[in-house]
Amino acid sequence: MARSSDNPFSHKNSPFEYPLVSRLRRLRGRLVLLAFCSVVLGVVLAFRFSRSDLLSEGPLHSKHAFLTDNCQACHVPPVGGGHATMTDNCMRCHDHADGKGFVANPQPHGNRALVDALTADRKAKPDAQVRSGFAALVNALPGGRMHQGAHAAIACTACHQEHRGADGNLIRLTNATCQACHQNVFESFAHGHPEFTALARRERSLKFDHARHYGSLFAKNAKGKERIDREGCVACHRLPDTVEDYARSVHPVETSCLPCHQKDLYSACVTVLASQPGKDAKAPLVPQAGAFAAFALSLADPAKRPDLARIHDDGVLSALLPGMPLLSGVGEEPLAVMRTGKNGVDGVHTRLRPETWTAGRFKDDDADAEEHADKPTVLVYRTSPHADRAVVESTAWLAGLERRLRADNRLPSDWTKRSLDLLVEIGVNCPKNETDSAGCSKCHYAGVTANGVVADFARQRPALHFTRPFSHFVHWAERQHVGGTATAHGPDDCAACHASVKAPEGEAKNDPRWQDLRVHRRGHDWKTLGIADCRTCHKPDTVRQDCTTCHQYHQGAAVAAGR
Amino acid sequence: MSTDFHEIARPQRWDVAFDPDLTPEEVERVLSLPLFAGMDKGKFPRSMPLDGIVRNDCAVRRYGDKQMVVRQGDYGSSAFLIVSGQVRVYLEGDISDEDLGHTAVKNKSLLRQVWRSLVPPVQRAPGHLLAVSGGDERGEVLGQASIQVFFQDLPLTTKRGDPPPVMSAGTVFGEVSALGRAPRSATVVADGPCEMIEIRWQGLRDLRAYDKGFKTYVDGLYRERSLQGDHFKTLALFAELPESAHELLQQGAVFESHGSFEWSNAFKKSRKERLQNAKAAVAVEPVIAGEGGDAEWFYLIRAGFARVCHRVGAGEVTSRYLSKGGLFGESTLRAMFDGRSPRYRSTLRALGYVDIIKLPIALVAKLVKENPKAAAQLRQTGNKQDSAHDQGHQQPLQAEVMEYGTAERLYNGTSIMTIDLDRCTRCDDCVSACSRAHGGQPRFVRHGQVSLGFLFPNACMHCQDPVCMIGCPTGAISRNSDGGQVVVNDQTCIGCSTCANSCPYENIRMVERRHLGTKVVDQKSNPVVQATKCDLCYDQLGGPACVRACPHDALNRGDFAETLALTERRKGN
Amino acid sequence: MAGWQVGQVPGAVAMILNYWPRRLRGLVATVAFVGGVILVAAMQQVRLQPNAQWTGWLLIGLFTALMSFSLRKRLSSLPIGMAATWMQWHVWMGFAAIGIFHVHVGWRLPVGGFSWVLWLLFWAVSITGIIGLILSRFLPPLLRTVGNEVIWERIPEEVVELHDEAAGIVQNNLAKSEGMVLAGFFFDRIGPWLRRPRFMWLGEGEQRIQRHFINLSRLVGDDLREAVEDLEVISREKMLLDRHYFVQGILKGWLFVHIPCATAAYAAAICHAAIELWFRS
Repeated sequence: MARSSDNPFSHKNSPFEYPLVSRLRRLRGRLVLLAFCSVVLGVVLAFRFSRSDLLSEGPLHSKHAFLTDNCQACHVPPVGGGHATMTDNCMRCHDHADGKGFVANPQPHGNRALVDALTADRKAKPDAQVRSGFAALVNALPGGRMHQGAHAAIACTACHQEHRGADGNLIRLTNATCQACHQNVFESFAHGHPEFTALARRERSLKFDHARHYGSLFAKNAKGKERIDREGCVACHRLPDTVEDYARSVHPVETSCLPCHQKDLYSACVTVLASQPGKDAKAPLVPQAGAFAAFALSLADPAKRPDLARIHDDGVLSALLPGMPLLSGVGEEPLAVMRTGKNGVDGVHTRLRPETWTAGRFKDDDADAEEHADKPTVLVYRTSPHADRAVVESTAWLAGLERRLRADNRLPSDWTKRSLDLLVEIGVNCPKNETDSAGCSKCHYAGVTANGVVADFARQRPALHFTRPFSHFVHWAERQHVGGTATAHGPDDCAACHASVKAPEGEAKNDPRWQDLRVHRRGHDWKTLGIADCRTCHKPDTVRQDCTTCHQYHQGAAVAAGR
Repeated sequence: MSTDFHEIARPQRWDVAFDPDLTPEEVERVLSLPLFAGMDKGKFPRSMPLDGIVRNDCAVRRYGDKQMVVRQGDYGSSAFLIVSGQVRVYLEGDISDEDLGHTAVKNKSLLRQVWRSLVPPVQRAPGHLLAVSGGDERGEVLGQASIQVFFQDLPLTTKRGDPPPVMSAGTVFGEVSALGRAPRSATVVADGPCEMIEIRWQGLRDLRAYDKGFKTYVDGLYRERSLQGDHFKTLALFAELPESAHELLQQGAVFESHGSFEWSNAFKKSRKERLQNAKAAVAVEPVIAGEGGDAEWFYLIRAGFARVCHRVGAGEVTSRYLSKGGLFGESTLRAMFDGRSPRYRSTLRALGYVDIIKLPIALVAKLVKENPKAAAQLRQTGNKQDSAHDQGHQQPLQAEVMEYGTAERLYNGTSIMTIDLDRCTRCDDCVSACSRAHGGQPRFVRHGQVSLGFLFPNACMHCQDPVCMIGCPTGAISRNSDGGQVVVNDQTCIGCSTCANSCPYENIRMVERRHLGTKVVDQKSNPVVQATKCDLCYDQLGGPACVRACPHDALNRGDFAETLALTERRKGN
Repeated sequence: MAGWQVGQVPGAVAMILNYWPRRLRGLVATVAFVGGVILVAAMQQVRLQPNAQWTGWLLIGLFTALMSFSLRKRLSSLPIGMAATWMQWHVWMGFAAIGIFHVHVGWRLPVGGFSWVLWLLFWAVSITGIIGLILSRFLPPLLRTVGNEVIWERIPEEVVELHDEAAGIVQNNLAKSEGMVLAGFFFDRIGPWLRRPRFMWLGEGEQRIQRHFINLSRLVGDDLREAVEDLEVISREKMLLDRHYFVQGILKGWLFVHIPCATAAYAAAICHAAIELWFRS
């Protein structure tokens, strides 16, 4: 039987009606229409009912969860012809001026003047090595590298990303991002990073000759030797966990220094208040006309020192003098009340405790009141052997006072003498110069300011980050390097960085570096760390060596405090 | 689809006369002319009387001085009888193309074409059938009467330096084109006012069929004029010969026809036999020159096709085919130059029908030998032909394609559709594109013979010898005057199926007419059909839509030589 | 793949090699284009400039160009370039879109719901496109080996014809001695199978049918041998039709996934662009 397939085109057989659009194509066309309409309808419905869940690029970070469904908070639609940039929207919350956010200064490195100085420095070195490669090529093109003036144009989104989920990483920062500006300096940390020329020691006020102590003195002292042999560096030091810990990176003086230096310490007695001789024992004590008291009284701002006002007004000795809050009864230091005679202090009369202090007078029921009624009553403050709080806080007060006066342009011309006199009065006994080791200066080094010496050892300056003047630019996580699990150095391996510098012999003693070390023995002399030390580990295929390992972009008070 | 019907009167052949303005008096006048007066009216059937032929298939044409009657290169489908006056004949090259006014076919506008592509189809309305008014559209296809071209200046001499020949009253011309379905070989221009009778070829065919004297006369003219013209100049072998040599060749030339003019019927009938017994199928083809026989003639193919084959074992292997301009006998010539005996080294057989001009081989040898350039040309041609022959075989693929193409008469096609089945994903984009380009009716089906990894769909090949045109009563199927495509005029096709029956490749299909979805029927409720075939998108911007639509380079159209090359390129290793 | 025979694979390979100059050109151009986009994006990254917007618009443009291929197929009668050329552009632009897509989104998985939809749709389109490309290159030679070229839409009709023919043979031989056996065989074994085309290559089924006929030939006499042979011929033709139905079905069917997915992806991309523009900041 002849099938139509033999020749369906033959006019003899029934003609095969070839449809214009086959059944399959019609069906496919309907599927296409269905697909198109489904998508469009789905988007419209999602837009109307569940915008953020379905239409956003992803869930917001948990910190920004409150912005869910509030797309306009960041994605401001164009209104009235102009539109805000994403950075503007970010800064509405993350602006340091309001103190809400943590970005104190969105500008790189936090210090415009610094950046300009660096730029000037870079321009002064036209032969600075230009790194070859793609980035250099891009910079060579028209509209090339980012100029300093364009720093403001770096959008937050250049380094930050959202919509990566509640636990997503908000930061997308790589070396390439940093190298958008810094690519002409060096290739990587291992190759070309500048030497740590400004790697400063921490500003500390404690003089300690590790070479002498560790090398010889401890060996002579049986107790010390025993301890050092047993514990090593941690006999005196403790590893800080946070920046604040730097203030307590040395064990208390009582355990680390006093066992040997008890005799080096002394205490001073400072007469602060005294009653008029012959006066009624109930008469109020008046501030002495000492330089310290007079100076403090003359400069203190009554409005800010209610304690002082009280002294003036009613003689209530709830606060003795500004800057010496201990004497107002806080703390646990007992106040020594001594009676003075013609021959000086003849003994401690009693130990005055705040709770017995009434109107600056002895209580009537005081057993000694009758006996000593004719003797002037003095309030003498006896400093504790070490780190007396009053002394420490007063020196800090003085430093702060100096800053305030300087800011107000009221700093007296004889401030140096005055402040020194004050400190001497309370027993600080500041050195006259940097090499003087009188009094506290035997161990403490007072920070030297431009106008003189001001002892600032009372308060440890917050640990500054390594390099100056790159304050806050480089962060250091000591704990990652010492102690812990996967670290480079064991807990006893302090000598890797802090090896005591032994005094060289012979001509090497005249080596400027040794001299410099001796002069600037700030805190403790430790091996001058250089970039080579870090490169022993921070090199390719070993540990991280990207820019963000050490450097950070945003800087500000909160950053400095926290990192 | 609606079940209502749209009834019309069934179209007939003579619904529209060739010259609607022909009056009965003029008909009588024509019948009184010597050519017609000598015909025996009794020989004509009652359904087709002589006066009917004259009334419906003849037209009286009057031309002014220097008015063009026919243009060289145009496809013609009518012959002319000069009643009064005279005409001049200009051959190719005598008048520039620019003066002849060859212009491009005006295509459809882009917007209209886009509209047809995208909007749902509207089938051809039957109203067109009844609204034929002989306008320009019809005139372009059917006859030359609408051409009104007057020459400003005509050359006084032809390229040969002679004044152009003159034909005067009583002469018939144009029969070569009309009968041979070929382009006009000369430009005929009226030399002063003259009157002619234009006979469209359907009438010519019928007159030949029923009047022997007319047949003998017309056929004689056909032969005589086939010899005219300088055929030799276009042939590489004779191009370098001097004029005197050409004249000698002309004098010695003999015209012959072999095979059957209407070969398609026999071809279709023998399809089954050809498939079962290829050897016998070849054996029935007339031998013009036999392998090993004494070489007396050198052959030039004037029209039609011939096969060159040589004996291998008990059969014959086709080495090549020859079409118009092909030569046979070159290897014999070379043998003669080398001092070997002048015998044919291959057999020449007629394929379908073939008109040849044969030249005395001794004369050709002498003339070629005397001319170094011609001799060099002969050697150059011989290197290509002989190597294949001497090796005793061709590349297997080439041989197979040659055999297949020759057996299936694919050489006849100028636009053979081939679909590479190794690349075709059967997506039917080609058919869809064809459908969109033609108002929803595809002009071919992706179905047909499969051979050598190619599908040869039933799509019109626009043959060199379009036998489909033979029987068309109205001339609806004809060659486009511009590109030579064979097209069906929807407006004049009466659906008689003659062309579909004639086509040896079954590439013409009869489809039912529909009017806006409604079937069109005649008074007896029989569906009215019409012929549908590929028209090569002759009136569309960009050419055949099927070729452009195939995304995988699977569909190609070309003549047989291109198909052969394509096969070798795609399937050859 | 079942059905491949010795000599078939080289045919496909030869076909691939025939087109290697064109493919090389396309590959080089695509790689150069995508490389250029990556280069520009890297340059922008060096300068801390965002590239999501322009790469997004580039993607939209690419998608539109890719989708326009469908429209072009409807306008084949216009001189707007060959479909084969458009196909090349479509394929290579598709590959380019894959590269540029990852420049646009980065080499990471999406997080949000709509982002997932876009990502999945894009990959669905890309993968189906690649699969379709492979299918369109390797299945046609396989189909050619099957022979018996037939138009897919006609296969059900042809199968019905085969069924009717087989039924006719059975009918004509009912009167013979084992005519009922033959009839039983037809109605129980091959009749249901002959009724409609099956979407399968029929590797194992072919052997099962052959076994049926072997068993049948044992049960009938010589007078029915011719009828059995005719039925075998019909069965073989039916198998070939099934193979055509299967392979051509795959060749047509993959577009049922690719084109709707592409449309959906395009719609989603347009919506994504609209949302981005709406919330532009």
